[in-house]
Amino acid sequence: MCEECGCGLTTNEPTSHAHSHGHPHTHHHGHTHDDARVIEVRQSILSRNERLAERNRGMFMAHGVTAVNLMSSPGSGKTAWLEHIFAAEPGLSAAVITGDLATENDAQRLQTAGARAVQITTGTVCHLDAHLLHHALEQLPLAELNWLFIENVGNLVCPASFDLGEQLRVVLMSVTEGEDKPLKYPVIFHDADLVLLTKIDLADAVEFDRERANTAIRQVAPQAGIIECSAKTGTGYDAWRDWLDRKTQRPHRFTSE
Amino acid sequence: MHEVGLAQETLDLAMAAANRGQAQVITVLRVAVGELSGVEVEALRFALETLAKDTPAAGARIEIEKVPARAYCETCAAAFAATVHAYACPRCGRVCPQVTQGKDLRLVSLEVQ
Repeated sequence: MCEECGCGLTTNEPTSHAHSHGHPHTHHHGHTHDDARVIEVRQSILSRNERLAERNRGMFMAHGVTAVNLMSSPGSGKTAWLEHIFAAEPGLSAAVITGDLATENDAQRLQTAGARAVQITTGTVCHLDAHLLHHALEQLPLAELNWLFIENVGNLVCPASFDLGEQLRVVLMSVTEGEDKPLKYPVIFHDADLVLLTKIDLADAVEFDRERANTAIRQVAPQAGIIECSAKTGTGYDAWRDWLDRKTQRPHRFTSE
Repeated sequence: MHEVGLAQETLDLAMAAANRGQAQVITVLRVAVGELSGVEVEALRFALETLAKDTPAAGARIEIEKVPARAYCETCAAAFAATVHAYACPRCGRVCPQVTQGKDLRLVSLEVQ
């Protein structure tokens, strides 16, 4: 509001207003309203997502659910690895929330493999966020679950920025993608707890250079464990199960019994 | 691609702050983008400018400060400049995952009228 005349406008446009002598007329104020000021905000741009992620995290803790966020480029084998898990542990009290831009294909594949699976179709959105996940959680009986696998949208860039409230972050990288993937897409690897090197059964065929891949992972994600695995042959499954048990140290181990 | 979503969040925060401050027009938006945040600065700027149309922030100057990445070496008890590709301590060579700065994405301040 203008402090000079109290006209309620913040521009210096010509203004018409009524005077006490009862006849309105137009005049120019002839002064600029130089009331520019700074508002300090200092808020995280992801604060809304962070708030919702904390809410998800609280729900997981309250229900004793360990949530694992699986991230990779499309086609690295997230769904295949999950299918393998449910085939290996038919009685596991686990569910999957799977995200794709379109189709229910992955949820159907996982349901066929015996999983309780909820599909999120994001339309054009390139990642899952805490809000999308929260609504998918409403469709699951969390109290009955010990494990939740979140199969993120296949994308090595955007999912990295969005905390979903998960306890564990796993990045999958298949041997067919090139050993320097971690150097090309470092951000998603920065917060990984584990890197799964998938399709290891193809390593020889594609002349996969283990040493180079491990060096690249160590360089951008020194904190992450590395497990070579194959959904086709079952290689690495025991190491995966042991890793989960070690990481969570929970009473119900990662088995179906 | 997610810069559009982040730009919308930024504008929502800015509008809320402007409303609280009873401002009508936002003339400057100051944003800090960490080197490790995964955000492409020019994509964010473009998205902000586009989404700001028809809002009180239309035409606002977008000032983006890049925040360099820092990591901490426990062995040397010293901070050092990290990059998106390397967290190796320049003194001892050890790879240190403890990032102390550079992941953030913040709306710092507004200039309003």
